[in-house]
Amino acid sequence: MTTIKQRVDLNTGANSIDGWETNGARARDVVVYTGNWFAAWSADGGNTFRTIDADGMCRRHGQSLCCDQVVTYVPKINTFCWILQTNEGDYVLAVASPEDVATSSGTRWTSYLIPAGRFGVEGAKADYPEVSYGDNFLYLTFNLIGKYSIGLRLKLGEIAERATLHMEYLAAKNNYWLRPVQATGSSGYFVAQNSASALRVFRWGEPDHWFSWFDVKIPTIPTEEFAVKTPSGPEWLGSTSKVDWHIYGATRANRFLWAAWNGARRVADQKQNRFAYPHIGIAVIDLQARALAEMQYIWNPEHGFAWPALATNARNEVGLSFCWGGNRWDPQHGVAVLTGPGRSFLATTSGPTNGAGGHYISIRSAWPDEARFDATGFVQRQTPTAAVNNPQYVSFNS
Amino acid sequence: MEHEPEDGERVEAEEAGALEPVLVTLEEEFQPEAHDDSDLEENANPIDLPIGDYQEIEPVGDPVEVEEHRDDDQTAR
Repeated sequence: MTTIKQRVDLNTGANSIDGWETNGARARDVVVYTGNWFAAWSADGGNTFRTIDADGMCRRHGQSLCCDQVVTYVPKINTFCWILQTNEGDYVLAVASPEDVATSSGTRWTSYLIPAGRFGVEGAKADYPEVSYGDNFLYLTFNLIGKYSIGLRLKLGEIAERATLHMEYLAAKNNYWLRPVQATGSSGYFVAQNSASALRVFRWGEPDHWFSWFDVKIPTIPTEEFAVKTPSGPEWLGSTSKVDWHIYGATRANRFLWAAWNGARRVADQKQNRFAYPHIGIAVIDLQARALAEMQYIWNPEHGFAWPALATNARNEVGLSFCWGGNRWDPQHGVAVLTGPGRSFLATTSGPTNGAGGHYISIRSAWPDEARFDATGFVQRQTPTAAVNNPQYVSFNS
Repeated sequence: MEHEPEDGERVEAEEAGALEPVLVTLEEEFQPEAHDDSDLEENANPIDLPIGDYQEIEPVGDPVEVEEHRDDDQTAR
């Protein structure tokens, strides 16, 4: 059973932050929260948020903030790791302890510029980052636009010392939209799609300076016809929504790797719809057997699901942050714990919306509460004068 | 021609140099301005993935019901 412990709208009441493409992480009562053009922090457990000058962070490196920010908290080194994508196509990594965030009002960070041109393609620009961590490394994935994906690892020990960081990476030269797996432990794992019918899993042992991969066949992903009608707004998951079927969420629980994507209604080249509405597809891969253990489909005959983010808590439970809607329902954000008895899916928002979700909604394991997850998402609402975005912060457990 | 690694084959990781730390003190109580970033990102997958070796979807399991959120007070906690 899924239980929501806390739910805060960052654009209502004491908070007034309008933004989308959300991401967030929590350490005790300190939360760092990012969106496409804002960043914020909270020292009261996510009840009230104050903004951080994300563009100023990029300007310190002679660049400017574009978008696509992600953040995680690494308990082993008591550090928030915050990634900012710049208009120049590079990344800024900013790190600070929860105590530093709170005492400096979110102003003091140690930061590093990660130039996209360092990864084998001169003049390359990077896009679509995600971050995770293992026992000894921080993992960052991103696309070199139009080329292929990179999996970068940085030593947690060097980050902890705020020292010079030495970058080591794998180039997934036949893959795009590579995602780092959350909660990887002593090996880094990354996953991407080779095709609509096969996943590629990369394994990078933490002591090693080499990686390997294996492929897993999956039932072919329906990639055609995402758009759904809604009661209040324009269509959801339409052509301007950036929706596609690459992997959005990936996490490890015990010996299983969970990978999740948006699925549409119909398989390309097939005549019949396989699903009445868009769905979330999840492959559960046995890392020891290097084989598909189970397929799960989050679907409903009367509305759609989309934008899955996955994480594993300290109890090895798998959590999901997602969006749903269409047909009779305006799009909303929701959360679920996918493992254990009494699985339930809870909406965290309600009321008329123009849409919900996008390339970034998030879920992270909470610290130090071993059972909790912290999720973010967003809905867009229409006012008489403009569309406004309502970022959500949700803490929940099983 | 570049060697294409095979399933399970060891592939050497690559190094990308070092990053130097920069201490930053930001302006406090900064208020971000919304901007239209819709043109700054790729709207579609620029790498056209194939369908692959088609495999039937079966079974799909039971439909998933979502418990709707009944509280329209967006400040609720």
